[in-house]
Amino acid sequence: MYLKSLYVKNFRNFRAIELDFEPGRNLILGDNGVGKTNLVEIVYFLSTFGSFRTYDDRDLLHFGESFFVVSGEYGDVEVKVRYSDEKEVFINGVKKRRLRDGFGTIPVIAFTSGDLDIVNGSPARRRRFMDIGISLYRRPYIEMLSLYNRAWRQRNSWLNQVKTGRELGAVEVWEEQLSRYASPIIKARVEHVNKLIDYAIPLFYSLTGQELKISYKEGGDYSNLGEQLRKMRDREIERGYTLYGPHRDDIVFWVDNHPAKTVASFGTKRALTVSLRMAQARILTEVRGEEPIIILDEIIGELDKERIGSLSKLMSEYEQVLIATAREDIRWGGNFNVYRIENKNGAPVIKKDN
Amino acid sequence: MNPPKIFVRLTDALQLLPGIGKKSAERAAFYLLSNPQNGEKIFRSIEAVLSEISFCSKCGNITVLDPCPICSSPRRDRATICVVEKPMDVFAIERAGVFNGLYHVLGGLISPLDNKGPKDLNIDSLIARVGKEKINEVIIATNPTTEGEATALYLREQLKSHNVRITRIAQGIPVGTDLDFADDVTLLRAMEGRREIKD
Repeated sequence: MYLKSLYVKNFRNFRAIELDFEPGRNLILGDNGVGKTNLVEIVYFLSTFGSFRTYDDRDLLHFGESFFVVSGEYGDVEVKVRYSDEKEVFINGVKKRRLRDGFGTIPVIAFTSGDLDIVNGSPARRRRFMDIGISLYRRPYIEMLSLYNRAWRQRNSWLNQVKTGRELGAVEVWEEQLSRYASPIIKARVEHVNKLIDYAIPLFYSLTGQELKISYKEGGDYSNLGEQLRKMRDREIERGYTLYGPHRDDIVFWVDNHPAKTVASFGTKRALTVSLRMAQARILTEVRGEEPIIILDEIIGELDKERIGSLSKLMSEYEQVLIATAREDIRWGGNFNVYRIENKNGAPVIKKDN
Repeated sequence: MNPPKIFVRLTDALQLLPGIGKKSAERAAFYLLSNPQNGEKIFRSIEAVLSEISFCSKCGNITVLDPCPICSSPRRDRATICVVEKPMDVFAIERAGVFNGLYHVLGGLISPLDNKGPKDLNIDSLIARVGKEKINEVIIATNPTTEGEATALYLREQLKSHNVRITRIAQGIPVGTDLDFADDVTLLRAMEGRREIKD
């Protein structure tokens, strides 16, 4: 399935647009600052109800406006998100009770320049990379994360109260729940990382000729997390928060046996993030039985000709690819639908080449 | 000029209510002033409730008579106790008419974030009842939230040593709805809690 159309009101620099898309490769061309990234950001937002550039939805409002609406038609499903103070999600016109009940209805994998943070950033960024990747094909995972986080906050609150001299009692019930919810979370993450290993390592080798290793770093003793939490309670009271569990997990990347974060070059890190996203796209296809829409935001301009060539071959597996770039010369063999964004009197205008 | 002192005293008092901030309190206070008849009605109701309603010394539910009509009824099954979070839960189950035993109202759930531990709830009185009265079964009917689940786990631990059957209400698909509309965790719980179809 592919994204057939897009409707946007008050999102970033777009006041109101309606746009039809076609399957295949769609090139979104325009000078810097006209809103190419904003356009693909909308497609990503329709999948995950969040942006890949900001955690604050208010940043997405058109200047001076108090609400935005975006909607897209994917196959015969319409996904609509409305934001004003709160986000509301409608699938085929029916409001979802919670956002997560509609999460990933449109499967999207985005390759963005911010992906470098997966390598360079904090462990939290890598957990987010896994969590979103998993949630796109396994929605109950989001629920498990949310239950885990709630139990985690409750136990932290308990630890803090003891630190200040108030013993509320019944801490075991939070430890039991933490270890209960942790196990499906860890299982899903390890599964995801094993699949990343299967797909990303050969991809990375084909792009760079270098050897990639990926290892999962456990944030706790998962043979018996409940027991570990019980044993470490005193130490954790001192710190005021829970020190062991999936909220401390991490992934480590090694290139030719050196840690990628500190040693790899910019180009190598880029090839790594491209391989990881490509792997996530394949996992999604495999588990959901449905190809994701691929978004390439800018990153293509950073690659050399040879890598653009390999990437283009990989992209031909997917039914719909949206590419935002300022470089018209990246077109490789075959057909492209070309959309040009231009700035007319301070407002973006989108035209499709015939 | 500042508002009269007794008016401020009223808005301050209204702000003691949960969920009422300064603005809502002021709005309510002005409403009471400009609609004195309704103000009088609210005043009388509060007075009546405070003087006549108390908590049942046995089950913790709100009641005019102590013990409450349910605890003192000869027609109820006195061997089964259904444990709930708050009085409104009792009334919901009673409205449905699906239970004929006794109740126990905890008056909240274990939640450190809200400063609530087991000692802040009516748990000791429940344990005492189970020890004293001839109880066969305790049904734990707290909500299926993290806090409801935590409280259920705690009760299970506390009641384990008593010779009593401990059960938890089922979780799953709401009656009259479509499977298609159920969220994934509800489906998961429904699958876990599935039962054999008996003749």
